[in-house]
Amino acid sequence: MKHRSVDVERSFLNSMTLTVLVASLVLANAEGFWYPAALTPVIAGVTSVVVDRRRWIRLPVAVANLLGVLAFLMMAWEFYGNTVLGKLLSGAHLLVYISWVVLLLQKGIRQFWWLAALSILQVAVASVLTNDASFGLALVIMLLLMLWTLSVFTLYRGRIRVAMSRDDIEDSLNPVGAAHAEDSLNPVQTPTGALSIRNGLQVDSEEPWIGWRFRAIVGFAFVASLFVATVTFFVFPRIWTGSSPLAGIAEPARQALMSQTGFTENVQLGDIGEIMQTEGRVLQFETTLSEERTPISADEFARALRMDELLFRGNALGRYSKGRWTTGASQGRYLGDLATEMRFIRDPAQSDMRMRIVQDPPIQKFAFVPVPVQNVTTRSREGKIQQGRLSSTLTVAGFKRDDRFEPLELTAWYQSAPAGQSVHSPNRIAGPTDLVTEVLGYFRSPTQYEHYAYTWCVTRDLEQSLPQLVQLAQEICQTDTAELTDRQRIQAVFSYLTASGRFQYSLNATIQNPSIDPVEDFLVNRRSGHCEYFASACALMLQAVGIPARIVNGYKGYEKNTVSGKLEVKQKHAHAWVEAFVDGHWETLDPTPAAAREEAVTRTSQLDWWQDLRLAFNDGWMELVQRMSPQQQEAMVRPWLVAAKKKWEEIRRQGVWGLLKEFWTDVVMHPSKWFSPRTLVVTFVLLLILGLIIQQNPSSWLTTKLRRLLAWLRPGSSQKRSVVRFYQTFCEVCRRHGLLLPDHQTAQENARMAEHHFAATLITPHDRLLPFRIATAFNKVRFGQTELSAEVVEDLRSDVTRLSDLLKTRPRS
Amino acid sequence: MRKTEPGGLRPSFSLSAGALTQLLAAVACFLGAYVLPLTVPEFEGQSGIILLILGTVMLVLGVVNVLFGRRMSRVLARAGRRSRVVVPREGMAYLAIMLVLAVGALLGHRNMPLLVFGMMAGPFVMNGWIVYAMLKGVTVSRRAPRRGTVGEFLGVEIEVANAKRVMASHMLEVRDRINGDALKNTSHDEEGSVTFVRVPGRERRIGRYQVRFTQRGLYRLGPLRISSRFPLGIGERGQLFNDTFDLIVHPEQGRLLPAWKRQQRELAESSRRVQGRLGLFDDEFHRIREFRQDDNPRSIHWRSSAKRGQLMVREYQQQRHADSLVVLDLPAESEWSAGAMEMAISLAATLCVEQTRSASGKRFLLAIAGQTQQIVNSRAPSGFREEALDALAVCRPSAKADPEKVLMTIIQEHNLYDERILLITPRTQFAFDVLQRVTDQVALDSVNLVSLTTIVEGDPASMQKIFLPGLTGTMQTEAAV
Repeated sequence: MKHRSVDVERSFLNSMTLTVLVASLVLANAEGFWYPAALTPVIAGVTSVVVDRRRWIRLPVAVANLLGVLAFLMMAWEFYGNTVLGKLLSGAHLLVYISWVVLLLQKGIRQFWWLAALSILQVAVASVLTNDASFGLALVIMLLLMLWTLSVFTLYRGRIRVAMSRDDIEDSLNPVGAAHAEDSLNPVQTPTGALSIRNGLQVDSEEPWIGWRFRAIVGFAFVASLFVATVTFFVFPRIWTGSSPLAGIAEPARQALMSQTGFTENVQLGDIGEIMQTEGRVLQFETTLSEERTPISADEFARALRMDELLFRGNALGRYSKGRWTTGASQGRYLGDLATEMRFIRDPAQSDMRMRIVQDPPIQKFAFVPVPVQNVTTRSREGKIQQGRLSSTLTVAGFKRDDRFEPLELTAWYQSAPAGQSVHSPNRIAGPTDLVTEVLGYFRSPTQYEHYAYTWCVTRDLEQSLPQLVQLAQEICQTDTAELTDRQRIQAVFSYLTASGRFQYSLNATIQNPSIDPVEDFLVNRRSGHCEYFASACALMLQAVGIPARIVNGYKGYEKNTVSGKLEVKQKHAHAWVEAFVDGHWETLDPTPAAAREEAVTRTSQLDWWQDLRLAFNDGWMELVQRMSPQQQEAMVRPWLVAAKKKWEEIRRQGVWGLLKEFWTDVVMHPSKWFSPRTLVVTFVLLLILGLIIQQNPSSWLTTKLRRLLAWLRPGSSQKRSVVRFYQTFCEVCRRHGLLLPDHQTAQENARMAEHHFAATLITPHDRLLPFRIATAFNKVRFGQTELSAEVVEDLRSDVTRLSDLLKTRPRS
Repeated sequence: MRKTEPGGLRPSFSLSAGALTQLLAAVACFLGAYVLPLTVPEFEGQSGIILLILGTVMLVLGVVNVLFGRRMSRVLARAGRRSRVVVPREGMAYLAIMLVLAVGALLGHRNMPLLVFGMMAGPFVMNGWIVYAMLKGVTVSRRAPRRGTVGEFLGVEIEVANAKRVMASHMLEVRDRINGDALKNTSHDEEGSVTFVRVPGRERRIGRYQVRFTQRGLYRLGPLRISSRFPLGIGERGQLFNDTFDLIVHPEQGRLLPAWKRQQRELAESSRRVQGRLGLFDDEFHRIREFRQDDNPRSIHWRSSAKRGQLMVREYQQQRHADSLVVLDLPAESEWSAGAMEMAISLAATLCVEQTRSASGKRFLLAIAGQTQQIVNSRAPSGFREEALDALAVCRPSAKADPEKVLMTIIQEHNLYDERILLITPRTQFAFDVLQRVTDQVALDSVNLVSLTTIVEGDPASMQKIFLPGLTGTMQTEAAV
């Protein structure tokens, strides 16, 4: 007994300590700071040994009260003059401080309840501070821990309550239990001293207190609770009224959740190399045809746009200085870009294909979308997507602060590239095509595009900053015969970087000569680097030979998530390429060795499956939990409502029987349809009905009903029932006239008994045989399984009536 | 535990599950009436009005249940409904946290607190279901002795039977209410309880609690209340079994001092005896038995011998103690402390029991002059012992206590010969006068009550010269002193 009680106590103390520990870690994780919540596990561990088990420390109540006051003072100090978040955190810290005080106390039942409540409250506060998917996992763990701890606590309380009323209290109770005597349990002696009671405890000797059955109950309660919790969460009505006072309160946590995406208007050389080594997701996408939304593969989509591989375009940067590319303007836009915002088409019929993109937060400035694009729409009411006419950069505008921490959903419309178009570059403008137009072009003033290109995509003083690069570029483009055209120069530079065999692709960007510019170091010394160096070298060399050029940051390629099956673009797909302004429009050049890059990008990590799983879980979390709204709820309920209405209409039209027949022919007779939502629902309903029936004591009720039903269904049963009824009437008549026929006798024996008993009344031979005829008929039906004709049944009826009449005339003794 | 109503199905501070359900249903109906049409237009119009009416009805029911739940519980318990699910204090705190979370989530437009709310609602609902299932098909019965004695532990057996097919019931707490006149002034319910850790399906388990009464009297065990808070302790289902059992607690018995015994023997021997059937050696007839060799032929009982067809002899036994009649006077006097009175009752009980052990059994008589006049008269020792102790268990003092009437009744209805009378009274002079008056009134030559009666003063010091009270009696005496 003692051993078992110690087991209960130890198990309870351990699980309570663990609960407090996990709750505090959840709060610390949500808060993003280690102090003070993360200190709780240490205090809980120490007090578990020092206070609860060894009882080395016994904190006086006065000291505990003093510590409580101190905790309030600290909370007040944190509360005043703080932001909303700070005020909330001060409350959370108060919970932590009080937990510390309770942990230091000698604990009785009440103190343990306090600890449980404080743990729940800490998790509750954490829920305000975080949206992290890991919080969901922590909640599930907390749920299990709480169920286990409170269940063991119930055992522990029972044990303590009984033990306290026993004389052998010192023997049977542990130190902690003894502490309860002082504050938590009713005294055994009554106040009037009229009674002394030793309460009893009945323990199943074959079953330990915490046996497998107990664990099974807790396990069942956990699974069922989880189910109920999920249902409760989804059906609870979201009445989001007014503005939220907690808006933006969980920003740090949100940022921690999201992968880092988006480039700014200033990019330091080497940034992409770092990004490319991470597996964080940037966006998901799916591609469809505009008509009927038929899915098409991403490769088909890319081919339709005349791309080797899908390029998700971000920002374009045209000026270079000391290893850093800039747009040269503020907010990622070139001057004049806003005034000349690209006009999107409004008629969906003009588009051939669509791409639905979900860009992961936090959303900075740029939307990553393949270009050229006809239109980009978003579901946000306030925010919209703009495209600069000059930079072709898609920017996010008008979004609220909170919205930037939500996934950005975009739908981009596309038109297939005209057949024969080799380069599908952005902002293709109708340039001069005939000689007259070309001649006239010399006399016209520069267009906006040209002005932009020659202003913002040409780096000044390259001769001073990058002399070797300029010299190299000029050497490449120098010929003995005639001056090369722009296109030839582009080709020359492009070929030098891609086809000369001098340069290799590498993610290692170690600078060999720090005294010179990184791009020159790449061109002259290293001759190996990643896309950013290739693109920078190409763009700068083009600029050096007088061609406006800019590098474009974005993503190239994609992967399929092995868990969710969705197409994803990750940080490792980050890429930089070049756009050169030639013949009045911008052409895309990608000088990075494609094969080598492809090899580096597709090099799979050993934890890819884990990454995919994590991402899929995050998506589910975001979709189902974090963004649950009345609209989402409606979207979830609507199909069920529609289905229910449809089913109701069907029932009204066909009737239940018709519906069952249809179900039989459509589903039951086709095994391939057995595993479907429809059969699932039907099975559930049937099981529910069966369960309800079983609950109503089936052993007697159900069997009786079934027996009656079978008897009713059996052919000829009405005659049988009649005969049985006649026999029963016969027995009843006999009983009424003083002869009780025993149940254990056969019908024939009863008939003989009746004949003997009523011998004085049944005088004629015909009458004397009356009981035997009834008994014989009964036996035939009961055991012979024979069917009696209507005439026989009629004869039996007259026999019984005759017997009854005869006995009525019989003189009473 | 504070005193609850007689049909106490619920702890003192709790909310019934019915009230909770009604209030929640009311909130759900109101929410449904206002919110559902926003998302599901089908709920606009008549459905909304029905929901509003339903919500109002539920709200009224819930409020009435909260306000008058205890009275309703009592009425329902009388009407036969003896099962009730309640939310105890801890459960109410749990609900309060849930409520705060829900309101906070709605005001803050946040899903995470709602998730925590759901995670709390899940265990709450499941706990309610399991708690309900724990007591399903469970019956309780009690076995206890009819009589007990002050100061001794009395074992009460509680049997719990679980009629469920498979599911075991865990952590069942059976509380047995103990009522009695001695407990009327207590501020708390007195309950013996037995905790059953586990009762498997289709099995029964027997547990036992012990109770020690420190005051004599009539007690009533029951009703039995079985409850379970398993698994989480935030919900409780209680079931009442109106199984009551009356129990008499006898006064504590002490031990007569040898000196007193000797004194009484001497008094008895010196008193005049009128013996009807003395034996050869001035002894008393004991029984008739078969003739044995060396038996005195004068002892042969011829009538019995003729009947049996063999020689039978009369056997005589030396009677060492004369019979004593115990008279207890219980006046309600402020000078006479309760402790002293209980000691007097204990002395009377001790004398009665002692007599049944040692006396020949010619006559046993106990007379009590208290609230009611009681005379227990028997020739069977065991019967007398039980009856006398029962009478002493329930006797009460009274200002109208009249020993004279009792003595007159004894003399008139129960012929006195040479029996000695032990009169225990706190008023010795009054008792002496009474004896004198009674003697004068009856005017019997053969009976002189004054000489036959030993007056024992109901003062602790005097009584302690006669007997050693039991442990409880000693404590009471000390308290009285």
